Amino acid sequence: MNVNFDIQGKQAEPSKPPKPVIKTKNLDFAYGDSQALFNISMDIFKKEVTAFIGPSGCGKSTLLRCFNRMNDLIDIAQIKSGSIRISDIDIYNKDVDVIELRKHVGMVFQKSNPFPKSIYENIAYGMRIQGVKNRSELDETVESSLRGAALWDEVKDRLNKSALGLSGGQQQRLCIARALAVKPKIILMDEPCSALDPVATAKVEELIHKLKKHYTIVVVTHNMQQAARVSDRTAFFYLGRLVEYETTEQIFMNPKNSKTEAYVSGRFG
Amino acid sequence: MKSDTNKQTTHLFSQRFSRNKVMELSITGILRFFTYLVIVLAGYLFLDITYNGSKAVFTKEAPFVNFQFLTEKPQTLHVFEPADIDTQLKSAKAEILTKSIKRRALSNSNYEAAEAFTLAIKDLNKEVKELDDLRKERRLMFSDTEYRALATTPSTKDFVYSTYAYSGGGIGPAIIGTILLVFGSILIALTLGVLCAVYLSEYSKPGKVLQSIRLSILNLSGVPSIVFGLFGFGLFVLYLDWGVSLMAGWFTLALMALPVIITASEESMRAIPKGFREGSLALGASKWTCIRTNVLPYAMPGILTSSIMGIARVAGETAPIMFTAAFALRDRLPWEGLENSTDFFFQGVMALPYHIYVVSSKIPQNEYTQNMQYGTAFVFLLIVGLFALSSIILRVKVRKKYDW
Amino acid sequence: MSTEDLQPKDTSPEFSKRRVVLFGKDTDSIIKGFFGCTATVAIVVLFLITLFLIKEGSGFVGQYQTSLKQYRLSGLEYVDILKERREDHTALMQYLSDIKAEWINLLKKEGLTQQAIFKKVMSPESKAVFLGYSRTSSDLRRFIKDKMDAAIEIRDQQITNDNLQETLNNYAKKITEVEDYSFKLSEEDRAEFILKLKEKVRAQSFDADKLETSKGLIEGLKSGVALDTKSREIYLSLLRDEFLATENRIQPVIFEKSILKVTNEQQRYFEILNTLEADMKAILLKSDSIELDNNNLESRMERFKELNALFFTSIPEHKTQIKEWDQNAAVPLSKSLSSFLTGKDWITASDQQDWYGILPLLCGSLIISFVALCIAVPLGVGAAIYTNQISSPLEQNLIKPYIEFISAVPSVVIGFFGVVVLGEAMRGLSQLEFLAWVPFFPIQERLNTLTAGCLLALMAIPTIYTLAEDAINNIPKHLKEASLAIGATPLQTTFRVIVPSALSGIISAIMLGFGRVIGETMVVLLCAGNRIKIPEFSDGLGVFFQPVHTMTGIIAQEMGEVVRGSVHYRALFMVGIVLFIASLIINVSAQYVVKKYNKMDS
Ligand SMILES: Nc1ncnc2c1ncn2[C@@H]1O[C@H](COP(=O)(O)OP(=O)(O)OP(=O)(O)O)[C@@H](O)[C@H]1O
Ligand SMILES: [Mg+2]
Repeated sequence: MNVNFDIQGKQAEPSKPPKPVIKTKNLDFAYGDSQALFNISMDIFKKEVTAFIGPSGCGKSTLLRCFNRMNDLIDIAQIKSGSIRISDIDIYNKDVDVIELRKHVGMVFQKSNPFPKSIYENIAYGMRIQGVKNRSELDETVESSLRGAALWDEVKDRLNKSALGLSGGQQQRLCIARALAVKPKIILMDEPCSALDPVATAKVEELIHKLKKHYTIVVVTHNMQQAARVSDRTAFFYLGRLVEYETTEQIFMNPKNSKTEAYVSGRFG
Repeated sequence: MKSDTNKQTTHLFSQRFSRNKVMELSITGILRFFTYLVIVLAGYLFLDITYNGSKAVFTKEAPFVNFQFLTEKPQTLHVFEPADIDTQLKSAKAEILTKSIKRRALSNSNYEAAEAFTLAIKDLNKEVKELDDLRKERRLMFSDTEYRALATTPSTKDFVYSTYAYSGGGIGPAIIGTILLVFGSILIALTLGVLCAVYLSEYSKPGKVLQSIRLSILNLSGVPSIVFGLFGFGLFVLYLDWGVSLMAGWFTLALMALPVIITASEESMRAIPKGFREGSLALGASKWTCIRTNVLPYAMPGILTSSIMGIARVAGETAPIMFTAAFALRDRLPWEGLENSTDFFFQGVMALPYHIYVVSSKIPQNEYTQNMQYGTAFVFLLIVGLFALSSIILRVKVRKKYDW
Repeated sequence: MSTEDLQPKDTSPEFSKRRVVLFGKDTDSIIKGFFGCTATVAIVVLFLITLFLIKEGSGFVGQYQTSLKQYRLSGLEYVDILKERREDHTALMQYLSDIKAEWINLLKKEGLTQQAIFKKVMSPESKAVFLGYSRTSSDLRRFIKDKMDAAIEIRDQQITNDNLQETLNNYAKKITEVEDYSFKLSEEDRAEFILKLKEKVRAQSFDADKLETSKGLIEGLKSGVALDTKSREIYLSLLRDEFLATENRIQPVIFEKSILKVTNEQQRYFEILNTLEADMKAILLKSDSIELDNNNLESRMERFKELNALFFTSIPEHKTQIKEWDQNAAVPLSKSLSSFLTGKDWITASDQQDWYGILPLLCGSLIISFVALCIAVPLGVGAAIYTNQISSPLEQNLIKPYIEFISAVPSVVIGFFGVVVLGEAMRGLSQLEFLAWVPFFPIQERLNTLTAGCLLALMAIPTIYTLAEDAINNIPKHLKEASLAIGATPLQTTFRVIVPSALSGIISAIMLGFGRVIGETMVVLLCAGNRIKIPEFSDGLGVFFQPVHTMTGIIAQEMGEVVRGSVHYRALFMVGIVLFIASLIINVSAQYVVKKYNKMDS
């Protein structure tokens, strides 16, 4: 049962005109009194990899966490104005079920956070909380998710061992697999490789490449090369504002804004 | 880096004698002495109670455990001392006393005569010991039931008769009462405490109010137990008119344990890394699911260990149950002679700590009462000690297992 | 299986509709509400403790004021002023008999025979002094006793009246209740009704026909049902009879009048005092004729004379005090509170006046805590420093749980150990001959401040140890390394770097240890000796060998016997409030110490 993902280079631009899935309009966001995002408007397109770059504290994580309402956990966080629509539904509408939203929009964190359970249970967790009890169904999903995250071959013999015993890179891919298991359509990744060594980073990047075929991916990164390697589009943030948002090629080869140019060429940040 | 003692070389870094070093050694010595003093003193307490208490609880013969003591009700002890030996003993002791007074008078002036007295006293002491053994052999002791069942009581001509309250029988009802009290109060305190802690740490909005609630709860855990007893007595026993009852005891003890349990539970829940919660929520778990699957299971060991320690404290307390739940003496076991089922909750019980208080303050200390006193203290110490020990061991294990 | 399973299907997202379960709430908010309710219950109940304590205690002030008012109105206060001179005289008598006892002792030591001693001590001259002196006050004593009886009578009459008044009020309430047609007989009422009916029947005070019906009536009575008209009538008439009977028994006390029985004969009293003074002076003159033959004794005799002189000078002042005493002087509310907080006596269930002064208890608690901390602080902190800084890891792993385990030993077990072992051991030790040189040995009471203090120290040590060890352990490792790296010895590092930086933690540990000690009940109840008296600090170190009573001990000892709502009951709650506040202050300041120092560090 060999699966071959079609590894696409970013040169292979989709021929069809891209379709926006996340539409952010004039978003103002604040933590208590201090505003973190100013008037953000951007569209994120289906089955593309979008990279967020920018100096530390510029609001990348904040915006990312807005997309699946993880900011709800922070009491002082509030959207002051503007809207975010996913598949044409305003996700901050009262009617929206946050839980369903989060199943739809998965997230992978900067610091890998496997639960202190077995590898199998980590992956199955998302299914179990949805009430799936059927063992074969669970087995199937666990395997396909692990394969999807390119981890299957490494862990298939120790599925019942604790996930805390995996290496850092493996743990991160496990978290990606865990996110895949609930079958999201959008995956948000907040600096997924910041704690990893180059080899593990390469593996995760490769994985992002593969996943692009089926998922819309937003990835926050501090690593310019990484952004250049994996993303189709890149957004540059500065002090809570979206400075420039273009195709990756454009941003890196031909930035319009001088700040962007300075940042991507490593002259500041 | 071995220091070679054969060669008496002195180099730059060689050991040198100095006053500083002597100071250091002596301070270390003092600190070590303090530490071991504490250990020895507490150890003496443990040993004394264990040694004397095990005489009451264990037997030399087959089952090795004195079930009678552990299951029977406390009763009056009836003692018959053989009269003839008693008089002999008394006269011998009087003799010793007079001789020692005389010896003291002579000790300065006439050394030899004093020596003769010393020898005589030694002999007398030996005699007293023999007589004492004989007395122990021949004396008769009966608990109340046994005494009543006697066909003929020993004649008072041959025996000196005396009675000692509480000293016969066993401590069965007290053990049962303590167990009932402890488990009831724990059930109440753990449920309320954990639920409250879940709310405080997971649901409530942080702010001044929460902060002050947390602080007051923390401070309440330092309030003396007698104040809780006073409160329980005023509210449950008198105001709500529950009387001296299990219910009143449960709630008083539970309230006392509540601050400890809330604080400990909250702490262990907050020690769970944020990633566990975020990870689970990001996968579409509801808040409650997240708490149920990713917070409580990992916090539980911590909650339990601290709670067991709280429980050991609660079980060891006397003051709060003195006037809320404990009777000095009660013949019936809690489930005997109930008219309807609610009566169970509104009856007073005997409890080990209160029983210890009663037998150590209300009856004299002598060889007949000692068994009951030490036996109760030993059993109680054992029960509470097991709780505490399991909590300490559990904590060490938990720390090793859940190290994130 | 294929990865196609994994691929999200392009259907419209499901998050567009919120799930609603009950009353427009989803499951999560319901669960949240549930937790919120429990938390509220728990917290409210915990706060209830404070409220309840204050509620029960606050009544004390008013009730105690009433009691103090009665004390004044009934003249008991007046009698107490009279009693002062008597007490002084008793003290002087005691002093004299002490001199006598010492004299006899001295004579014994000199090797005199029993008879010779008797001859000397009982010689006519000395007899005249020693016996004569104690006889001087017999008139005074008789006089005071009479006055006291009179005052107590007035007070008791007043108390009886109060009780009767209460009964009367109850009857009045009952009558209005029964007059209402919906009144239902309770089980208690029914029993009472029947009892009274039977009494009446026995007394033949009913009409003949009523008498006949009464039997049927009794059978017809049922609790929980409305009364029929006839029974109601009978019941009401019974109640009204009782009401009148009770009303007749009240004989109001007119204090202004009845007080005269106490305050009359002032002139006679002054005469008694004058004769007393004259008699005493005459005897003192005789005292010179006794041959004490000992410098020490003679100087004591001199001192005795001085004391007598003091006694004489105080008499005029005493007289004016008596003349000026005013029955109608007001007793302000603050007096009741201040006499609780600064009162030197705690006397309950006496036939005269009950006093509720917290000072003896507070002193007892404090002095015991002081002893306990003096022992526990060096041991606890020393052990903490030793285990954390000096001992080997193996020792550490054994000692820490061991000391922690001590904290679980129930206090009643420690108290028991104190009664059975430590108290006995202390007495045995103090009676050893070769220790007789130690002052205050042999001790009078085996259960005293020191016994209780030692045992409480054992309870405080684990608390202090654990917290202090934690504080030391929390000092960052780099501090220690830095100090070692510049050539300090480990011990220097410990005492100059580690302990100072952990000082705030250690201080707060000590304070919490203090909190534990002052709130401890069973040990002090069993081992402190339970004598309600301010310790005599004039005894120097001997103060530690006196029995005392404590705040916690008094609650434990007396709570079981009080009547709900009585002054005594409320006084115990006031003691509880004092304890509560003390523990709060200790806790809060312990936290404050930690917080403040932590701020300074960072
Ligand atoms: N929980 C919070 N409460 C208050 N302010 C916050 C919170 N989280 C972030 N902020 C503030 O919001 C701003 C944006 O933070 P954010 O985490 O989005 O930055 P970032 O771009 O992700 O930075 P980094 O690259 O370091 O992760 C920062 O100024 C930060 O201080
Ligand atoms: Mg970030």
